Amino acid sequence: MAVPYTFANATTSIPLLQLDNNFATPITIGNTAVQLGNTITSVNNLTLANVTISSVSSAITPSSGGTGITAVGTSGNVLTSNGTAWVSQAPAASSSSISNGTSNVSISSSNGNITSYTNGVLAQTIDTNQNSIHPATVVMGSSFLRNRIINGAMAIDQRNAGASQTITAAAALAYTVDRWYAYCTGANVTGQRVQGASANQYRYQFTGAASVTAIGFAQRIEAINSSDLAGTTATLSVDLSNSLLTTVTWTAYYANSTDTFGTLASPSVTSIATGSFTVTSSIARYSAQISIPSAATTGLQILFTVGAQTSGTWVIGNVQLEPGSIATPFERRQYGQEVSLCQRYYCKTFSLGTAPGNNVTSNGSLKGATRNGSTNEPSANWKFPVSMRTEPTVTLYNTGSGTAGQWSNDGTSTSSSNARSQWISTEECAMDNTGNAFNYTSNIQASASAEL
Amino acid sequence: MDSIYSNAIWVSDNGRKETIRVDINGVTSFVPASETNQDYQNIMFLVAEGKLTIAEAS
Repeated sequence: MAVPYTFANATTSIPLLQLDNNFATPITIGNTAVQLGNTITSVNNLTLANVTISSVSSAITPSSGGTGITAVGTSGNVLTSNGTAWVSQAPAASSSSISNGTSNVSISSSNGNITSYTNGVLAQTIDTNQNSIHPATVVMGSSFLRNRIINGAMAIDQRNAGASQTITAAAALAYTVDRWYAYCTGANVTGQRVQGASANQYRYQFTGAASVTAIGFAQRIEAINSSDLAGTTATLSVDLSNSLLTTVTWTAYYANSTDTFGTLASPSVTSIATGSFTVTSSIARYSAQISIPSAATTGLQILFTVGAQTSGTWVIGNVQLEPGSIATPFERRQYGQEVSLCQRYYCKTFSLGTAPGNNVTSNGSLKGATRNGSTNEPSANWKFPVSMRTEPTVTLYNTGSGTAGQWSNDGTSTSSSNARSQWISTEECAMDNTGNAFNYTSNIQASASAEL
Repeated sequence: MDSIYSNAIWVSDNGRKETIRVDINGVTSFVPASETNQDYQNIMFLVAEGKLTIAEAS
């Protein structure tokens, strides 16, 4: 637009009233006339070439219709060209496939299944119910039987059958629920399998007492069930709560020689790693990764400890030690399977729900057949329910009143003190009596421990 | 802490020492002469330390 001559060559001020009429002449952008001093909010039929948008201060809102960007339409729609315009529409049902010539993954338009083929052979199908079907073998980084802890759910309690147990301060380790031992310092504490909630039927609970300085709860895993973890990462998971303390410490050890961990007073273990969980009074799940050294082929020990549990309760459940660095959900084995796993380390002639003891019951007792004719001394063999870890320590119990651990005549009479077990294997043991004859059928109960 | 074992005596059969009759925490038990039995390991440790004696079978 040319500047009017009068203004361009002015040497003195000129009133705006004398503006040349040329300023009132509009220019055209697209097909829209633009006049100086007017506000234009839209320009039609404008073609831009080589446009660069350096920034957008707000979302570009497409208008409906036309041949450019169309309305977004329903959630899940896709933009599809119909040859002249982009149309927002639901994705069409069609089969899709990705292939490299010999292997492919496809989605069926007819049933929605996802199938994969390798070398032209069906390898996997995932159906619309999320089932995964494998015609060949599933090879996992961690097997289904991945929890190396036995009785991690605290369900099996052969020794106490759910009754409370006093853990004596500064005494030897005391076995509690199957496979787990406890100890404490400062003062005695009470331990007991308690009822859990919903799917978690049982927990193990310590009740604190004044002057207690520490409590430990641990399981030893024999080498044959843990040596493959050496040189790998394993994951420890546990449900915990504590109504008094906020820190639970875990420590992993390996035995200095195969399956020999020593005693509390003289341990024979090497520490692998330790850590702590910050816990609350509400049960919650915690996990930690443990880098297990290649030397740890001799058996593992997982220990949980708390400090001065001078009151309140400490609850533990669903303990899991598994290969790999991912904490997977607690593995729930069948109850019968768990019992059998426990019986490798401890078993008894009593019913599973009966705590062993003298003068408790004759149910399940071994019936002594007489031997040696003239002296009529009883003897019996006890076949263990499963092969035990090693030749177990055998304890005998009388079935009635009288001397502990002696043969009993249906609870009315007992032998003196000569009941014994002298032949013990991993499969069974034999017991007899020496030195005094008695002329009646006799019974005896027993337990066997092959704990680590 | 280790002195939970007391009154240990060998139980023999035909001259072979098969088990040890011993009180463990006051409860009479029979411990097989097995190197992989934890109680046997503990007993032998105490014997080596001179803290426990196993009497011969009578």
